Amino acid sequence: MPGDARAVLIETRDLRRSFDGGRVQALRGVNLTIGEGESVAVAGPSGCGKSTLLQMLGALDEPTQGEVLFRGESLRAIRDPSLFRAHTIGFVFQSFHLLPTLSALENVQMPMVEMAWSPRKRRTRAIELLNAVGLAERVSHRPRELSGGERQRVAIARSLANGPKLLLADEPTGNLDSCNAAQIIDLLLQIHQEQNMTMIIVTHDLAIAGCTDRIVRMLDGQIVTEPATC
Amino acid sequence: MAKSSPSRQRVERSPTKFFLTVVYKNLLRRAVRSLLTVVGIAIGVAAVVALASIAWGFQKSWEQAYTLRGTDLIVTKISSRNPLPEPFSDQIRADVLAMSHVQEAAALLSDMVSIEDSPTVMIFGWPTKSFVWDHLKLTAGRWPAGDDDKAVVLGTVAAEVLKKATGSTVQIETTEFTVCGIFESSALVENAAVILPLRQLQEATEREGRINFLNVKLKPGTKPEEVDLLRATIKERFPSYKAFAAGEVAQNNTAIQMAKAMSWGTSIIALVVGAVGVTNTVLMSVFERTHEIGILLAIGWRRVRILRMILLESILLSLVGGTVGIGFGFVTVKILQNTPVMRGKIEGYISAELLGVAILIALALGVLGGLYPAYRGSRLHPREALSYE
Repeated sequence: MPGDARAVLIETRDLRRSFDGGRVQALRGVNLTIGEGESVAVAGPSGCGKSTLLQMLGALDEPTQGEVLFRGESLRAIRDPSLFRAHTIGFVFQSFHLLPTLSALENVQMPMVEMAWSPRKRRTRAIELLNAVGLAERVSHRPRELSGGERQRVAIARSLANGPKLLLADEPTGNLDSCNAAQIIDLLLQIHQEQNMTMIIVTHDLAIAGCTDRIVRMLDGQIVTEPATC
Repeated sequence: MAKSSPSRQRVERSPTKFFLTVVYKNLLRRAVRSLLTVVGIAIGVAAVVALASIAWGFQKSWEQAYTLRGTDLIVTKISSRNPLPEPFSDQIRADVLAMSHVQEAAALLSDMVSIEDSPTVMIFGWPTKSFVWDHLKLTAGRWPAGDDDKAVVLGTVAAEVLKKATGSTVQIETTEFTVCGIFESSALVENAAVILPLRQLQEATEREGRINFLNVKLKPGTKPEEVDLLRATIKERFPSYKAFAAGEVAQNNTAIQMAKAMSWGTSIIALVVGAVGVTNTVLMSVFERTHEIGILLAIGWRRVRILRMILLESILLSLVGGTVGIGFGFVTVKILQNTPVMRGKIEGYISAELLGVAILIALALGVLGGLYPAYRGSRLHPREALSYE
């Protein structure tokens, strides 16, 4: 945020990503700086590169050119991106991406597998998180036994399981009705405020984007403007 | 959590129980497919257990027979294309008997013949006054009176297979013999055999003066180095013969070697088929779960953990299949050795060593069958895997 004294958590420098041998340019020189504890919405039409940018920020993909710096250190220097994600990143996806054979409680525990925590601590934390998202009574239910809104709540609880520094949400309300969508956004904003974590939401819904600290608007793989928000 | 630095992440220990739960649930997802794979592995391992136990049982039975007879050394022809050594002159007996440390030497003739309408049985020609009879227990009738007695004794299994009792007659080649007694031995190979005086068998098979084994009993207190010296002397004086210790002759028996080779050959084929089956099942499972593996990578599972998860699924399938296969193999042997055709011919020998080998084979099946799918799964690109439908 211009003029903000917050420490930089993550930034991109001339970030480019092309596919299909360079025929598809998904990102074309993105420069973005996001501070600690900031909430940012990345908005734009379908195919503008929002999700690709989010994947780069979450170390799910590598740039063709340019780099992503996390607390000043390039993600290219990471020996094990999975472990970086395990300790630093929380993901919320549009399609929830829960594991169908596992209960809500087990789904939430999945990111904790990489933590040196006792089984009791993992279980207690998972129950606390499910409680926090309002699913205390649904812990043993499998995804197919939950509504869309409940599944996204489980996914949010899972994204918080590792105590992430950066929460990345890719169209988190895309598969929900308006009532559930509003509840999920409220929940994400509440978590952001309570835990003071950095949150980036990809959305094409300007109403949702307007609730964040800052909106980054994208078009054709580039940032076109960063207007002031509500 | 401590301050994160992307390049300084610590590798954490594995939360075993939860991890195993995930693996277990993955296998149960396609229960029928997992079950069929387990059955496939079980059949492969059962074949290994059954065939190997029969081959080992065959060897064990011969070793036991020699040990029970009180034989220390067995002199026979070194190589033979036949399951039994080819006959040689019994004159060697006098020469061996004259050697130092030799107490007794029994010239024996063994053969396999078909008696009347019954299946092939082992037939032994033994000198009537010899130490080799000492361990047998007569359960009915009497022993052959002398080398001129046209009488045979039957092992209990042979009597059952041939449907003969004391007083019955049996025809060997063109000669008819009276069954004068029934005996019992701890060795199956003897229990399933017909024994008659050596001279009678030589005459009936037109091999007068010929034997194919010389069983040597040494004087008490003979030292191992003296035994070695005696073996070397026999080898030197009779270059086409060799003196085996009781256990060695069974190991060097062509029939036993063939049985073992066949058992291992069949086992290897069964295992290759099993490994291909495991690979197919696990690979299919990986393809189906591409998207889920993408989720696991996205939420921070390390590639090595994905690899471990898939490999563990494969190993678990194989171990369950292996355990079932051991039981199945054991039951198969029991059934086989009690069928009329096989009765008295085979005796399964299930040892701890064989069970260990079977479990190791199952483990190897799991590792070999799961390695490639696990590698494929662990090398998936998280972005591509996540977008896989």
